[in-house]
This record gives sequence, structure tokens and C-alpha cells, in this order.
Amino acid sequence: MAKLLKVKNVAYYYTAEGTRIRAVDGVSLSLPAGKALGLVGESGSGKSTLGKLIAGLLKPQRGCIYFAGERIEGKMLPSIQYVFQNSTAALNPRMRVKNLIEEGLIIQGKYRRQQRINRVLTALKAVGLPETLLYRFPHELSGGQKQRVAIARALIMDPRLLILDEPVSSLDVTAGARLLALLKSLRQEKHLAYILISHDLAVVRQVCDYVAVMYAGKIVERGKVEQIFSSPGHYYTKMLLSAHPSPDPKRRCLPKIIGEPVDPSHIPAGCRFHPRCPQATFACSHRPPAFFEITPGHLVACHRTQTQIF
Amino acid sequence: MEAKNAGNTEFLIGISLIIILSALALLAPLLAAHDPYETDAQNWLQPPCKEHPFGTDRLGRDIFSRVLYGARVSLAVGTLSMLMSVAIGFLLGMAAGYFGGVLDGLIMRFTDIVLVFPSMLLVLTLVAIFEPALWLVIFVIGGTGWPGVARLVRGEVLQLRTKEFIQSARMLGANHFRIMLYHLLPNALGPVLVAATLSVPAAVMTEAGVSYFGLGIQPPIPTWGNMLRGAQLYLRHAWWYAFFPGLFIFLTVFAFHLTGEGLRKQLGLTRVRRRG
Repeated sequence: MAKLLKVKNVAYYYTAEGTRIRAVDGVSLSLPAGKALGLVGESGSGKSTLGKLIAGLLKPQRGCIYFAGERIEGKMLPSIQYVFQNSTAALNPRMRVKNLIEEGLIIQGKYRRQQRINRVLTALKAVGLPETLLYRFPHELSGGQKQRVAIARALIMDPRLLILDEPVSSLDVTAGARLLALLKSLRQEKHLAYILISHDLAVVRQVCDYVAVMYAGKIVERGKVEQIFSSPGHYYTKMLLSAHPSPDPKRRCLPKIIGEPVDPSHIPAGCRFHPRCPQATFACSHRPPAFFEITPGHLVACHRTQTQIF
Repeated sequence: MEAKNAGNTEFLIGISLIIILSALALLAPLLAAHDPYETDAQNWLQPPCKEHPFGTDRLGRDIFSRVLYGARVSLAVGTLSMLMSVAIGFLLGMAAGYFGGVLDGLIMRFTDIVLVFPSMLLVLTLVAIFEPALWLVIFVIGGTGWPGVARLVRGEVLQLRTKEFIQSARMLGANHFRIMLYHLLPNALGPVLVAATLSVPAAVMTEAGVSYFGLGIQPPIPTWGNMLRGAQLYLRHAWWYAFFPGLFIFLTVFAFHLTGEGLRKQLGLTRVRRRG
């Protein structure tokens, strides 16, 4: 299948207070059209930075990004839209809902006033908001409503790829669940591809087809959702999964979270995870592990996985 | 946390005073019982009476009428030079804050240069070179009053430009102009409104000062400043001659400050630095 998005060995470094931070350090991934990829990892693992690189909000120092066959590093395309984590900060407080959603169409300048209004109403309906909110200001909306307005604002551009940065983390459980249901139905309707950035594996499991687990600026494991959740290969993935206790008592023996996330200015040599990994061997602290395909489509970057197989 | 209606009373008193003063100025021809230029040799330096509520000056002119006509000059200078300062300040502050880098450095150094010129001195110099006229006073006060606004706008824009809604607009393909006009300007407006309100009394005072020196708008056109100048010799004999123009200067400055402070409290802003 032709890939909609291909990311090849992308890196983004920045300097903060004199130390170089390797936010994203050689990441490759790909995504077919209409599929959803979940990007998971702890805070500071570089998942939001990767999302912004793909959206063109940041320009990578190294590597290529292809979208529908074209190189797009540092370019913002209408067909890739980014929904920010904090919808309160991402909506201009002085604009009304109608103007917020309409803005993309005005910029494109392709439509007449009446057509624009019709499209705004369609988008509003698509995200499940009533027309009565059309002339409200963002501060008059609830968290879930704001998030929906932000999504409508992106949808009106008819994107092929929607990058959602922690879409439900600021919402309460019920509002979050409703938003996830909306995201699932939108995807089917509009044949959208998603990149869903989240620290919450349960969210990813509900919406996504693929998962990539990031740690300290690198992907440590990627594969289909079933593969990752049923047989996680990397110890870090196992740790993340254990943060969500399963109702099934047979699966409660997963490892606990140990240690602190790595300091991005002092990334350890070898496998970046080895100081926290109880299964680390001598090789782990000296040689960075390469990806190893444990089952078709399921890649793990861990020395231990390789030795266990052979 | 300040109460929700903090500054409301101040704002209301201030704005009502401004409205009354503006109405007096605009309706001067209807309200004034006498021609402000009409002299009356018989009734010079009359104390306030029924015929002349504020008395008459040394040429027998009605001070009430002259104060009303003087309000036109003062308020015109105040508001027009304020608009000019705000326009220049907004443009330069926005450009400096938004584009940053070399342009920011250039604009802000230029701002510092203008900031060190006392506008009073500049008005005096220019008026000495050119013919004293209303437009000149407005231009000079407006042309030297903008650095405060520019700094304020730059600061606001620096803070706003990293906000996610700016990035979000960029994602939709918004150009610099659109981002500045629709996203930065409306959000930077609050503090500028306060600064603009507070710059009006400063301009009124400068105009009155220049006229008092006899270098501003020239007699016989009545302004509060040149009326005070005329009253100088008669302070001991005719208190009303200096009192009423002075009272109106005071009321105007007071009204705009009250409004500005009220606005500041309502918008929940910290004290704004302004130029005197």
C-alpha cells in the first residue's frame, strides 16, 4: 500500500541554557492513508516535537519527511492539520466560534460568504456542536466544546492527516470518552489519517491502528495495536502498560514503573533505557540496539528481545 | 483578586465628565451667550454675575464663552495627538515585537532616541522656527508621544506571539498581516487603551503649557493656556480670570486620569508607565 506519510531518520535538536537537548533523535515511521497511529511515551519523550515536525511547525535539522510523495520538511500544508494540546491557548480569545472555524476558509479565499457559512455549519455538525454556540467566545465554552471547536477549525481545511496532541488529557472522563467516539466516527466518514499523541495507552488502544512508543527522542517499539498490547516487546512498553491495571487478574503480573524519565540533556550511551531497565545487560550500556522484527510488522529496539528469540 | 466591578465607579465618573466636557466644547456656539471675541470696554474685569457667569477678562470678553471655545482647542489637541501616537506606536511596536531581530533593535533604539526628547522643548523649538499653529502643536505632541505605546505594544506582542493560537493560525496558512491584524492587535488592545486614555491629559497639559508661554495657538483664538497667560497680571485683582481656565484644565486632566485608572482596574492590568 502506498504510504501517505513517511518520516525518515528525522532529528530535531535545540539548545536550552547552554545544553543541547536532543528532542527527537533519528526517528523513522510511516503511515498509510486513513489509518491512525498512536504516539505514546512519558512527558519529554519528544512525541509532541515529532508531531510539530510533521505538521511543519518546526523544521528538522536532519532527515526527510514525505507526504503523498513530496518532501515537506518545515512546510505547513493545508492537508496536514495540527490540533493543539491546550485548546484554551489554541483559540484566539477575541474571536467568536464562527470566525474561529471560518478562518481557514477566509485565508484560502476560494469560497463566497454563503458557501463559507454552510461549510462552517457542516463542520460544527460534524464535531457534534449545536448551532447555538456559533456566536460564543471561547471563554464561554466548556473544555470539551473548545476541543471540538479546535477540531472543527482543522477539519474545515479538508485535511488528509490530522495530528492530535493529547486530545483528551484536559477533559474529564465522560467528555473524553465522547470526544474519542467522535474521533473514531470522523475518521471513517472522512477517510482521515490520525497521529494521536498521548501518554494514555487506553486512549490509543481505542482509536488507533498502529502504535509507536517513544523514549528519550527515539522510537523503541512500533507495531499494530494488537501486537503491542498483547505481546509488548520492550520493557519500557511493558512498564507503560502496567500503569493501566487490567481487570483481568491473569494479566496483573506486569512490571511496575521504576526510575525517572531520562534527562534529555544527558542521554545515556547504548540503549537509552538501560539505566531504568531491570533486564539490562552489558551490551545494553554500550551499543544502541537496532530494530528487530519479532513478528511481521512488530519492531522492537531491545538487545534482550533479540537474545530471547535466538 | 480584585472585585469584578473594580474601577467601575472611577470609570463611570471619568467618562461622564469627559462626555460633559466634550458636549460643552462641541455645543460651544449654542451654549455661549457671547461672542468669545467680542470686547466690551465698559465691562472689563467684571466679577462673575448673571450676565457673565465666569466674569469678563481685561478686554471685557466673556470668560465663560472663551472657556467653552478653549475646550475645543484643548480636546482637539488631546485626542488628535493621542490618535497619532497610538497609530505610530502600534505600527512600530507591532513590527518590532513580531519580526524581532535586527528590525526590533533598530526600532527600539529609535524609540529610545525619541523618548529622550522632551516634547515641550521640541514644540517650543519648532514653533520658534515655523509659524505657531494648531496642527503643528498636534503633530509635535503626537509625534513625540508614541514611544510609550510602542514599548507597550512590543511587550504585549512578544508575549502573545508564542501563544498556541498564533501557531494555530499559521497552520491554517495565515500570513503575517492577518496574524498581526486579527490575532495580535485585538489581544494587545487592552493596555493600549489605558495608555491612550492617559496620554490625552498629558497632551492637554503640554498644549496649555506651550500656550502659556505664548508660543502655542495665538490670541485672540482662546485656549486655556493663553487665557492663563493673559490672567497673569490680574491674579490679585480678578481671581476669576485665571480660576476658570485653570479649573477646566484640572477637570479635563482629572476626568481622563479617572477613566484611565478605571479602565486599568477593570481590565485587571498592572499600573502602566506613562510619560508626563
